[in-house]
Amino acid sequence: MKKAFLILLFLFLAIGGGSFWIRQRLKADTEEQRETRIAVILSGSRDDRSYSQAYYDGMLAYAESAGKDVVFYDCVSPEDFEKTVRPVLEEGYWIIIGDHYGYEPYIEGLTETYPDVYYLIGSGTGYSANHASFLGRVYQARYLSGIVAGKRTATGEIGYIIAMPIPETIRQVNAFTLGVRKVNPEAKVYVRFTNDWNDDELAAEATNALLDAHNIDVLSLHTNSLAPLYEADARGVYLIGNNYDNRDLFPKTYLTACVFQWESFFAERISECERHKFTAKHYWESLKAGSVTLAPLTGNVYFATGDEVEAERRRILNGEFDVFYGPVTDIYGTVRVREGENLPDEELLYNMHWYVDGVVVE
Amino acid sequence: MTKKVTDNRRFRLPVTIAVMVALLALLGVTLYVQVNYLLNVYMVEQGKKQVETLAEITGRQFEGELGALFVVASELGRIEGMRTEALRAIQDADADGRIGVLRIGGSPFYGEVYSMDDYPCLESATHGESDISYLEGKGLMFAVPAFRGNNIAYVVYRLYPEEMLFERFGVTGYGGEGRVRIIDTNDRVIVESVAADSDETLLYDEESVTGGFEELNRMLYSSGSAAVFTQTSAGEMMLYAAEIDDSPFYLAGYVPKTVVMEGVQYISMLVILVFVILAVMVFFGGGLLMNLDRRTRESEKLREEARVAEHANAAKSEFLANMSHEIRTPINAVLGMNEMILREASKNKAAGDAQGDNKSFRRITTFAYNVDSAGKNLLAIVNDILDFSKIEAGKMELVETAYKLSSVLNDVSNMIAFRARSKDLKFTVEADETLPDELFGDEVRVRQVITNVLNNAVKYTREGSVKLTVGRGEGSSGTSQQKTDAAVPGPGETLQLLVSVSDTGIGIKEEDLAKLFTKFERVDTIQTKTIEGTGLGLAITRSLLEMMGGEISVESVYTVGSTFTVRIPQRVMGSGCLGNFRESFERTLQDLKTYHESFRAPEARILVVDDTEMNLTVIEGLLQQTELQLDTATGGEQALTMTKDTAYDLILMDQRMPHMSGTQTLQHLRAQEEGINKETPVICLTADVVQGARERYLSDGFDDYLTKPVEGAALEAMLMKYLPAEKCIRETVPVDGRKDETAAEEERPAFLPEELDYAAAKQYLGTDAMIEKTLRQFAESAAEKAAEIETLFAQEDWENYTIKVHALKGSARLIGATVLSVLAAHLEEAGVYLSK
Repeated sequence: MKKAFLILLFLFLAIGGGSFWIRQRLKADTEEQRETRIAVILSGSRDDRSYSQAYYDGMLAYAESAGKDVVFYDCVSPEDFEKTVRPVLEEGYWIIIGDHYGYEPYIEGLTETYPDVYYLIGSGTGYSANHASFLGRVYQARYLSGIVAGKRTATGEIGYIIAMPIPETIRQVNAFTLGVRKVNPEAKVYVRFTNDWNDDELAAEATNALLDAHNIDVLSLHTNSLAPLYEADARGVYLIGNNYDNRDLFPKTYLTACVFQWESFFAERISECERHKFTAKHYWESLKAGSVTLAPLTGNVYFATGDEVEAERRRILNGEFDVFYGPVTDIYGTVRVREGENLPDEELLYNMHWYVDGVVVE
Repeated sequence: MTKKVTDNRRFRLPVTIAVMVALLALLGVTLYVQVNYLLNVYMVEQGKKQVETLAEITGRQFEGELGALFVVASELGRIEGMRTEALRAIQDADADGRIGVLRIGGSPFYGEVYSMDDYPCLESATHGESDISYLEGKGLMFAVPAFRGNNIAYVVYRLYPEEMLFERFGVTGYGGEGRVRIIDTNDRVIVESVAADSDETLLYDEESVTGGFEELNRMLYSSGSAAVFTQTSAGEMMLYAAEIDDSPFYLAGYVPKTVVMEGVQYISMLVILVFVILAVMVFFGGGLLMNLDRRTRESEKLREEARVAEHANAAKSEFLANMSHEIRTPINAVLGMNEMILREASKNKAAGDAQGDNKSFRRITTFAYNVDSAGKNLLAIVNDILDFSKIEAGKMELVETAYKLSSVLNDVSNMIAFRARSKDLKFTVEADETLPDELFGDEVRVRQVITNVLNNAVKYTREGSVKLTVGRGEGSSGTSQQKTDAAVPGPGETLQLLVSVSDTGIGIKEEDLAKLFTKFERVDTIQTKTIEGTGLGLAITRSLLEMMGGEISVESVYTVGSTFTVRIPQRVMGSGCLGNFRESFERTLQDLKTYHESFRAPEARILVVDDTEMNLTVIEGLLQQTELQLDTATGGEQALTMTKDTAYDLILMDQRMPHMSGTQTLQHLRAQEEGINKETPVICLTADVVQGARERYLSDGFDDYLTKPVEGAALEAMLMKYLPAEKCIRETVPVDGRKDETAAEEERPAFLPEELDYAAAKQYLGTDAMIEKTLRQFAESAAEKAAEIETLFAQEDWENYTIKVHALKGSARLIGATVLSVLAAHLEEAGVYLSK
């Protein structure tokens, strides 16, 4: 009698206990919506008046208008990304926005420990389940800025300081040059590299060398450092900025700039995150989307430049024209894009190692 | 204490069963819940797989669409500049007229123009990505780039108008029961679950459904598909959603839970059923067990009760066994003492006579006689009570032997005649001469019954007469209705012995007749106040009669007289008739021992142990004819010495001996190391004939026993039984001498004193020569023995006194000194009493 009782008890415990291992949510619960908490990791400082600040401003504007909880971490190098982000994730931030492609490799490691987190990496090119990267089609703005430069230059010699020769920078200088050539077919764009995004000394050095070597009266740049602008401004050269509108710094020489306006982009993406409709892809935000644009022209531009710029802008916006619609010839005379053709994005992103006719690399 | 334990035990089983049933129920419920849950999990997983499959199908469909466009695109890419050819190729592909081709820059090459604002997929295609776009109200557009070399030359698209979408891309699940719609990341419905003209109410907008889809979105983060149950207005639904890979689209939908369950619910019901059955089984099993338990306990109780009853019964039997001896012993002692008083008084009389003190003697004698009378009465009452107890205990057993009716009637008549005479009543006996004389039955009880009835008659008759009539009753086999004319039952047949006793006594009232035989009740206490008795007599009589298969009836007239009639069926043994029973009785004595079986055993050797030499001599004489080799010993020690050296075929051992009793000697004998007489049969000779005597001696170790004084025939029979058969030569031997009183008187030898009973002596000793020898021995040792006894008496050494007196009883009997023997018996009883 007692034995049977004990067996039954054991059975009961075994079945009852073991079965409670398996648990899964089957009924739709109305779970509380997670409070949106965003962390922005900037490679530069938030007031660099350049690339990182563009992120900062954009996000701040959005967060304030939408009332979101945002934290900013600046000057985080790619190596420091992980250790910066971990405590942030611990605190429960689940939308991480970064501004450097160098952050991308570290995401996978973090996802294992902290699932349910979305990553948006600007200037990145990869994407995975919870990670999307984005860029702006700055080249479209560059093209327009090229028109401004082409119109402005009297000497026909335009300077362009680039950090490193990568498809991004090459593409942009190509777009710039195409714009220049559109309005000034004989003009030339002289290019020098600093090999560093942020180093002011190197940038200043390269700028001066370039200005010394040629009769440049308009300068544009593709570095984070603002040094080229300062140097050029000191020498009375007209400036076209990048990332950020710094006209207040150079009232006499500033023409315009290719700037980011991330606010609406962030708004869209974050809304998607909140609705769990995050799409893992590479976003290349166009002029049309508004994420990149040409800053308003200053009074220093050549008169009537504005009309030309507008006309071209309109063509781009309605799809009639995009910067690299054919014909495009490289510096060696090879026709890269024929009339009626377009360069696919892939080419633009990864394979542009050639310069369009009119670029002179020093 | 016992009660408490039993109570606890009574509850343990039902409680255990109740607990087991409860546990089973609990287990069943838990299992049911868990099985239900697991089934739900299963259904959800299946749902997810379904929707995943559907998503995959839709994804492939889309891919197919794009693929088809790619074909056109690659054609375009190939055909360069040959516009007409290109156009024809496109036309071939464009069966339904939905294809279009745009140039870079947006101008149409073929088909319609659409703006990139409306259809972003066109822009994507321009940049080299095939894409799908939906314009609400317009339709779904698929767009692919057409490459020329590495660069994009055209954008090829196909637009499905809104109204076509369901037909083309509509999807259902669960065999048509499940609703599925295609949506994009902004929750715009690309393709609805049902056709536009359907009037089915879709549930997508219900709160519970939207909430459910929100949850699914959360789940889709970590997996490609998700499903969940939710309650809707149309019942419980399973919601599901899945991503369509490589597209911005999702599938989302719902299906009724009942469709998904499809028979699966029976599984959980089965679980319940199993457990219900189990519980019922346990319940009934438990009931059975409880029943069994109860019966076990009941039988245990019964066994206990039986044991107690058995115990009580055994105690009662033992009590009865002991009582008869225990009660009779002091009574006999009283009587014995009485004798001694009379003797003393007699002595004093002799002395007092000289001094003229007769009066004192006479008074003492009167007192003594009164004591004697009272004692005898007491003995009678005690016997009644003991008999009655025996009957009540069911221990009364009939000891049936062959006996002579004449003998019984003779004794009874003599006794009653004496009593009647003392009350001045006339007593007559009438016996049917044709009655068979040799009967088989319990002689003692028959005698008791008749005596009882006669005693009552005498007791309750103050004046007049008592008449005893003995005859045959109806039903005697071999007879007809009529008593006198019918044939007399022969041997083997049954005689219905009819004994009637009529008196002229006080009679019995009509209403008291019923109470007559009731135990302890005495009727008409006023009249009978002066009459002694326990009131048990008639009750005993009736019980005895019932045992014997007979009955008793009474007719009575108050103050006139009564007639008691007793019927006893007895088996007839022989053909002899009662005749004049007195005569036949006397003849019996003559016929007795005409022949008897005897034996010769010259090879056999026996040992006789008795402290009284005379007894040894007697036995020697009795066994002379058998030619046995006889050894004698006067005590236990001597016997043990002799048995060490000589192997005997049989040992006769007297029980009552000084120093070492017969039992003690026997035990020593049996314990003898390498005793050659270990197996020798030992017969006990004892004057003690008490109830259970045989059993007691047997349990002591004796093989059998003989009562003293030993009769020759009995002794021979015993020897024949226990001597080795090969040493015994059987033969029939006539016995000379008739044990007839009158005849004996004629032949009475001269040497025999008058006071001695020649007949008795002859009976025990057999021959005149033996009698003379024994008598001589007795006479020689008489003085010595008497002195011994007197000395012991004076010393008050009661133990040895008793032994000596006991011996005297035996030897006196042998020589026919019956009176002396009886006196000695009384003294023995007294001695026994005093020894305690």
